[in-house]
Amino acid sequence: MTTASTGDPMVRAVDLHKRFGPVTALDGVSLDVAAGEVVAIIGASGSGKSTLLSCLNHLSPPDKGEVWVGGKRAGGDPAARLSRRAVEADLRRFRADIGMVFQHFNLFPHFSVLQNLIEAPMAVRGRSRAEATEHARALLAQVGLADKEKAFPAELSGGQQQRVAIARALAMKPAVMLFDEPTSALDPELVDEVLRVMRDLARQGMTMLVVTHEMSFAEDVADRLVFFDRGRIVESGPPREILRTPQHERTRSFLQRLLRRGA
Amino acid sequence: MKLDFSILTVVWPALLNGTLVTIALTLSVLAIATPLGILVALGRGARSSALRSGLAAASWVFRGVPPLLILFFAFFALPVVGVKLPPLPSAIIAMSAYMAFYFGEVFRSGLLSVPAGQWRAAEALGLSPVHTLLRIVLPQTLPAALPPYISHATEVLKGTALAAAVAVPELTSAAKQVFVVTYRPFEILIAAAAIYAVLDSALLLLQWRGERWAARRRAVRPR
Ligand SMILES: Nc1ncnc2c1ncn2[C@@H]1O[C@H](COP(=O)(O)OP(=O)(O)OP(=O)(O)O)[C@@H](O)[C@H]1O
Ligand SMILES: [Mg+2]
Repeated sequence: MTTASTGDPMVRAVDLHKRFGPVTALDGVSLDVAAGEVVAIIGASGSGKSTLLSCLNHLSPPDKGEVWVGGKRAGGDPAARLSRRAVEADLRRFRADIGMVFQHFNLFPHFSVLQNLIEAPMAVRGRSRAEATEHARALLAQVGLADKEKAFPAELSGGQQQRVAIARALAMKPAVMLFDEPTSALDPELVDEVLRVMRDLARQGMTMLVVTHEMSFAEDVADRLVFFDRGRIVESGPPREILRTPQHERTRSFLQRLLRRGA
Repeated sequence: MKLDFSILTVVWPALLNGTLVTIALTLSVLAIATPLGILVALGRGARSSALRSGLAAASWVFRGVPPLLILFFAFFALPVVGVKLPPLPSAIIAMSAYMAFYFGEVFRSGLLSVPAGQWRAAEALGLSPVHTLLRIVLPQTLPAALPPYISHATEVLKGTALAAAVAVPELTSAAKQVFVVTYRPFEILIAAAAIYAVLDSALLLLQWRGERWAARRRAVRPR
């Protein structure tokens, strides 16, 4: 993909609005993420965190606002007056550059682990099977699952499935990775193996947006913490500062609730 | 009365011809009605409410009237408006028409059995809707859709006997023609039943293969 000139953000969201009927899920969210930056997003249930991620890759396009990734605008140049088909095709290319990891993994259960990793690179990127397989094997080794390429998803633990899902997203060589509560569907003892993979990824310089309730991960790994409330970013800054001395009343009460729950 | 199956050494060519017609009719109907059924299922979940209600009405009509009536319609009524077809193609068209709506119901519940997260995951990877349907979603409908699909396919096989009424020389009518001249209805009808049983088993084998394929590939978490 065309990389942004140095200094331009890798991800730029401008004034995103999104409603679902009477519910305002996003109420004017703007966010710049620099290349290699890791942003952790926290906030109460229903505050719009998932909606933000699916607006960023236009799985559900915002009602208003713009998204740029790697210097490319989602949906193409509005001045070009593209047909609906052309916009859809542009969005598919746009999404291919954005890796997404879901809470419930959403692996393709009828494909082997290897096929899960090579399907999209072959179909979307036009890679050869040999090329896609070689890259997939390297990624499986990276997430510690080199011996599982022939397994089917149902034969893996939740932690293993989520690591496969991360590898599947990486197989597209994305410019940025979005994680939506990647560990909250996992048994506690499986959380660490997934966080470890994400930590490695951050260390390698991947640009990441991570919705999470894992505060220690946010504190150790994220460069910036963003607190969401009722469809808005109410506070944003270095994780340690926000966690120690939250400025906003709603951030304070959210963190207190989280502490009481023992998260 | 003693059964004497040696008569079959004389009449087998007629029964074989009937069997081949029955197989050709069954396979043609399955080959046409299956993709049509998938389209019907997709159409019934479409955004356009006109398309949805049109298909619901057509489904109600085609599944509500006797199949024989639809066969008569294609063979006797269509020629009146200038569409004149030989018996076999006419029977293929008639049976495909109503089977498309039975299969439409099968695939509709099959498609609904695939979690929305599968579409989202495929879309997030940049896969096209057609690719997602063919490679990701349809194969996953197999566990839910296969048993009813095979039982409908068995109905197609048995239903080919109806085509005798529009002059298609399939197995049941071939058997009848043979026993009315030989006066050996027992032996010949038993032989025909045995042939149907073998053809049925082929469909059951298909189901068994499909279930084995799906066993390791089961959905991880229903949602
Ligand atoms: N597809 C949808 N249809 C209707 N309402 C929706 C839809 N998606 C989200 N919403 C609503 O939008 C609001 C924001 O939802 P969102 O899922 O983004 O919150 P969240 O911060 O991710 O919450 P959680 O922590 O529970 O995942 C909620 O009120 C939710 O009910
Ligand atoms: Mg969410």
